[in-house]
Amino acid sequence: MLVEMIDICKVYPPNVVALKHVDFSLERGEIHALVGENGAGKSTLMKILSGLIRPSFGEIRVNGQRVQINSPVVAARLGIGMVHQELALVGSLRVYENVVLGSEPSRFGLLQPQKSSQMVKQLAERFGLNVDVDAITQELSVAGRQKVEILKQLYRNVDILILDEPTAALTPQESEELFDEMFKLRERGKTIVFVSHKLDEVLKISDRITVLRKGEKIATVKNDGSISAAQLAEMMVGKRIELVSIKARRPAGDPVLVVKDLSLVDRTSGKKLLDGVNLTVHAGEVVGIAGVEGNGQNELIEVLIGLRKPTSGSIKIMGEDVTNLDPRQRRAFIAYVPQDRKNVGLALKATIMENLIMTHHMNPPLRRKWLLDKSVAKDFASRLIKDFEIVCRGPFEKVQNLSGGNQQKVVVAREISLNRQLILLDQPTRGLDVASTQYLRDQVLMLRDSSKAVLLVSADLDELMDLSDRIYVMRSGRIVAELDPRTVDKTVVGYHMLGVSA
Amino acid sequence: MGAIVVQLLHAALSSATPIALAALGGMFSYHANVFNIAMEGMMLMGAYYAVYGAYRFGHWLYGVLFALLSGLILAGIFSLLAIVLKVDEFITGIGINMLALGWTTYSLRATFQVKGAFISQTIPPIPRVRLPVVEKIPFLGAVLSSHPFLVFVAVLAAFVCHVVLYQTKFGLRLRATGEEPAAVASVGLSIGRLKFWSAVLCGIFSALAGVYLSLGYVTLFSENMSNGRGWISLAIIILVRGRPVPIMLMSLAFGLLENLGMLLQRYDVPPQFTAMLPYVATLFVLYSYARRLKTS
Repeated sequence: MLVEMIDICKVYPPNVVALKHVDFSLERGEIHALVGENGAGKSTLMKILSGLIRPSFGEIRVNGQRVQINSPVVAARLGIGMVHQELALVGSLRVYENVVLGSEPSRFGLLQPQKSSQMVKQLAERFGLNVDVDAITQELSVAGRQKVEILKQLYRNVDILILDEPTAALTPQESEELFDEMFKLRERGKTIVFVSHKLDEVLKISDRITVLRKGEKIATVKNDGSISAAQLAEMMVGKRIELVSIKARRPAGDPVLVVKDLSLVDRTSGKKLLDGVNLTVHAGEVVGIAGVEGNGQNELIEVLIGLRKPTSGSIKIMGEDVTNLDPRQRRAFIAYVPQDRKNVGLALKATIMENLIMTHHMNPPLRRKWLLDKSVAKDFASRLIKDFEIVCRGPFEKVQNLSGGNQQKVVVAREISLNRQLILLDQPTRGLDVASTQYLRDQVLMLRDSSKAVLLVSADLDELMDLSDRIYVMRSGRIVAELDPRTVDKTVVGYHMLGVSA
Repeated sequence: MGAIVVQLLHAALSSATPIALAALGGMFSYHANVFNIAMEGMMLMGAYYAVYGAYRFGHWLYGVLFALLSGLILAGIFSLLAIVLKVDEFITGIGINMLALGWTTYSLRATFQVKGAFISQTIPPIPRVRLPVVEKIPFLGAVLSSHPFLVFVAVLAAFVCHVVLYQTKFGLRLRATGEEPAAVASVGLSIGRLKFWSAVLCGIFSALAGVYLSLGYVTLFSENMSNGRGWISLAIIILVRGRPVPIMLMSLAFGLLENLGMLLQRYDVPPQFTAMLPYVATLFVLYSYARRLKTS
């Protein structure tokens, strides 16, 4: 065994247990996938191995020797290096400068650019990494910069390379290229840990797979064809997840949102971002908006919520014309889960309580004259945390410490508890893990069943097909089709999105 | 006319020197992403201790030595507060600037028993150098010759700083620290240490600027004699985004404007207006610079 991690525990005081008695091992020259949902402990385990955090308990052996990995520098000395999701590169420097930074070839303190460039180039060639070492780093794509990080580790003679969700920001083609490079690295004797929750990729490239769930190791299996994605998913989640939602189609009620001839023209370019959009959402129905991204969905949401004024047309909510109201006035009717939860939906540095009471704070009982009632706020937040199963240390924890799924739950809890008649959901499950996604979808259906009107914008066609009662397809700022997901196939929606006839 | 131009350029080079030296020092902090505004105070302290050392021990070298020590001590205070204890850099800088002003004013009275300024024939100035060959060149010789040697140190320093910043390990790491500290920390380098060295360099260069003021430009110390030069150097650093050679050129432009103002006084332009010239020019440069950024 190259590396053995034995009985690793990690406790964050006072009582959050991130890892419970986890065993993990690496053999020389393998690609070992580490899978699990967000918050399962994958990153924590790997941060322990790479010296970023220390375990509360347990031991680590490298080549049979018991070691203490106190810092990334110690890890590098032991031949362990990690490529994080957030790449730490200096954008204005050249690729080779980033690679050699910290152990630069030099003579009397003077850098030797030719020598550095040459060394890094040879390194890249030896390991089959296709990257221009003389390029300015910030001009590279994400995939390119990722290779620079890998080169940085290889330059430090790392034997064990930990890649933390490397394909998260890559296109399918870039992922393929990365996999080829991972195979080449394996051929040259490197050991790779592939942290991911994309099961198809994991099954495609790894030799062994370790599954974590809620801080516990479920299993380590050989990937020799005996295991399927469904089995892995079951191990990850613990219960069988049925991703298809059962829809009980009920007769729709009165119209809640009525949009007539809505147009938006970009002032500088004169381009029609929205072009005569008509749509209606009734009480007790979920209406989906499908479309290739950038075809007016964002603009539609912005106009509906009041961030942009339409050039022409009208918006009525529950019979009232809101076209000229400002966002705060409109929010009396609308609950809104924005696409960009980190910047628009949440104040990351504020506490969970503060995020939960926003908007609610305008009215009693939270507002007492010009002051906030802190004790009511705390009770209110605690109740939502419980009702919406937000996993956290309490209402005073900062939102930025939460996992993506729990952050989204904070937004959803706040918005749903506003109890508005119309709910706008913009990409509500983007970037969430399986369980959080399912949770969100259940919430959507519950809203529908309580006679709310839901408008759902999503890039996930399966999600739209599963949840919506009707689907509008947008293309070039226009509604080009209105479809019933029970009678049409997903591919038909796709044809309309792309503008090719079925 | 020719004589006036020669005089103007000669004086411009002289006025530019303290600004350039301070700016070159502050440049290191700029690249380490430390918002260091303490050049003003470090310069003033340097000017005082240059006079103190030179007068007390009878040689200008002691002046330089004392000035450098004072610069290092202020750099140490700055590092302790802003880098180790992580106090706001701006507040720390203001504190240092005010400390320097108060300390030098007080020391002037306590040590030399004078108010306002200390002038003495026995303060040894730093030597002026005559350039043997250049001197003979008609126009250039008159502009360049018989300056205190620190003028040439400043010009040379601009090029040396360029090499240090762009061609040495230290420079590479410093720039990396300023732009992406995580990258530097991830390879096991200490960000705090790099920032500390940038503060030390700032202290050394600013103190030299002070030496030039009190033992080169003139041979005396007067209260608040740095008179905003540290702030101008900060403006220059930000304006040229910390590139050493442009720092030198911008300092020269300032020196030129300052002396142009004095020249205009001879032609009955009120001194209140001529003294504004460098600052009006700064605002104009900032305006056109910002406009250019906006349109591009």
